[in-house]
Amino acid sequence: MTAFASALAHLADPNVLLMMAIGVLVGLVMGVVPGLGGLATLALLLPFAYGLDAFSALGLILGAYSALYFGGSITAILFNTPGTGEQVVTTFDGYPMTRRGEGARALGASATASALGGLIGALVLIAAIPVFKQIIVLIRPPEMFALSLLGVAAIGIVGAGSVTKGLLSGLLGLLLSFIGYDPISGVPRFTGGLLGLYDGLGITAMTLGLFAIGEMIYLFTRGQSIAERGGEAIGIGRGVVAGIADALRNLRTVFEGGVIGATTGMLPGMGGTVAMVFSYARAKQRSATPDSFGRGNVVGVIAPEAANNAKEGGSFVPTVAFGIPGSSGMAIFIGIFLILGIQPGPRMLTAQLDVTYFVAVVIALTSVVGSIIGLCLATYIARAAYLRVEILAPALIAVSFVGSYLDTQLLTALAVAALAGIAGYWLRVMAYSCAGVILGFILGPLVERYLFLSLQAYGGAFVLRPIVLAIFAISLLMVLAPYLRRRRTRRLQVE
Amino acid sequence: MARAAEAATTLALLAIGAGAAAIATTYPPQARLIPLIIGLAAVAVALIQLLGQAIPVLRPLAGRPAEADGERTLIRDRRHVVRSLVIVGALAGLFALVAAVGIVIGTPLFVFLTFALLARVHLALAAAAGAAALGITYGVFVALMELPWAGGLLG
Repeated sequence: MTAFASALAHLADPNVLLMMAIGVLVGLVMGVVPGLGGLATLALLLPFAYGLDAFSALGLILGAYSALYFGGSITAILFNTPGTGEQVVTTFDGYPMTRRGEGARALGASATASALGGLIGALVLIAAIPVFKQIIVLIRPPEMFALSLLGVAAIGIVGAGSVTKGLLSGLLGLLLSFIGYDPISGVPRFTGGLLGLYDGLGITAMTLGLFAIGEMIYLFTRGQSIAERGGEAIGIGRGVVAGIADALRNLRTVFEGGVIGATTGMLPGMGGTVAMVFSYARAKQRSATPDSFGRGNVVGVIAPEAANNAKEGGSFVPTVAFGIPGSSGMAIFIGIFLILGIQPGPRMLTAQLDVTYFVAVVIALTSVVGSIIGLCLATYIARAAYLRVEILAPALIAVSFVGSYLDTQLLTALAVAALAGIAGYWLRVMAYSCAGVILGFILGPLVERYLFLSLQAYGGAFVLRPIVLAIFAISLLMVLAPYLRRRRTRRLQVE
Repeated sequence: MARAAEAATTLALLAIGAGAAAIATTYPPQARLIPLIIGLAAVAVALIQLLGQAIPVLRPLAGRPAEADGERTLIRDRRHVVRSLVIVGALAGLFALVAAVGIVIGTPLFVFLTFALLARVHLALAAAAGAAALGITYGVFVALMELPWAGGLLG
């Protein structure tokens, strides 16, 4: 209790509160610009850790890190342009809602789910630390491989014109993920000798190309804006309120998404996309109208957004408990902790427990504040969805190119983004799933890495581990669930 | 025409899968396993899709044959063709500008030209948009990331 009181006392410091507010604003702006969120934000704020006291620096950086995810959600919902690769899941239903004139409602739902998800993530961080050590020893490479496959199985959830098209979309994404150096053997694969491809196609260029540029090509060829004037049925302000009400009406989805996000975030190397996909898939399976997902169902926005912020609280758990980064962002946070004289690891559960509680409370607080401020900004940004496509398309294409270039500063990234954009347009017209492609692209390296580690450590017998078998069973259920549900519906209709 | 385009797309994906599997066989064992499996899986699924239109038992998997509808209509009218060429040309133009003069100058130039010529807004507005874009690219690449402001082949 003393440590918790000490953490709250630090929060009462006006300098800390000021730094948190600045961090939230910086994070929102960074999150809105594709390619500039996540690691780039942390890297740019790292120098400030030297000039500030520990708690002010943590307030600044944590504030930015918590807020940038909602910033990325704004563009994902309004312009089909995820701020980070992870937020591609938010586009599945968020962007169709914008096209229908319900962008403000989607933003309201996203902000509320993000804020509540962040709170859940912080609570999980506080609750899980004492028991985390007992749990994490059960999770080895075979279990991580099985979880990655579960993510691949979820590709079938995102929908396409047919089962085969959904599968082909995912398989195409998996194949594209193998371009570049093989992390296991060091052999360059499918590069054609091009130096710019040795590091792969790049998640930023692929995401921006497939979703943002592809969508702008689609709208431009048809002469359509994102949303038509007069389509916002109840006005932007009331739309936001309706979205908030939607999230509060679906608290179970928010809670499940938060728990899924936080627990997935605890698994080092699992990645944020997997957490959001799991949450989305769970919400779709539970829904009475699963076919409405991917067409602008607000629950399809709430579920991944709750997981999005919650996973950050979860990813702090291994960072704090073992000094093992729970994500690539946490790897930079370990550096920040060291700069501030804080040793990540078991000491953060004993002598520096006040720092751990401070981190948890700041994540919770800045998730809420970031969502509120982001929502105020978003209501103005939402009007851009009504701009003529002749203005919006070049602007978004330019932003996408800038975002793609930020990653590697190579022309190859721009070529990838442009070609992915044309491919994304074609795939959409042919009723394939760009979402399936990007999910396969993200999950491919995880599947390969953990399969290799599992075979090295356990041989082929790794598939017989109890937790692995349980996860395989869940994957199979996830794939079969739509057919079982349809058969049951048909049987009920016949009766 | 839509049906032919669907078949061509499926054949292209089949070729990608087959090509990936074939190339994967030239890599060392650790590097070849997963790409080979995924490539062969893509070939199998693409074949199911191609045959699915003709074989009734496979039709539930492959979906209905392509139909000319609002989504799948490839060429709606002449305006559609022109706009398709314009937007792809704009993409290529932006790439060429960045290759020629660098991202810091190329992107604002692209914004100015497209606003003026494509969107046909007032020149002053197009110039303002270009200036705003220059502010962003300069701020991000030169001020924050300390990259040279002039780049590309002519930089």
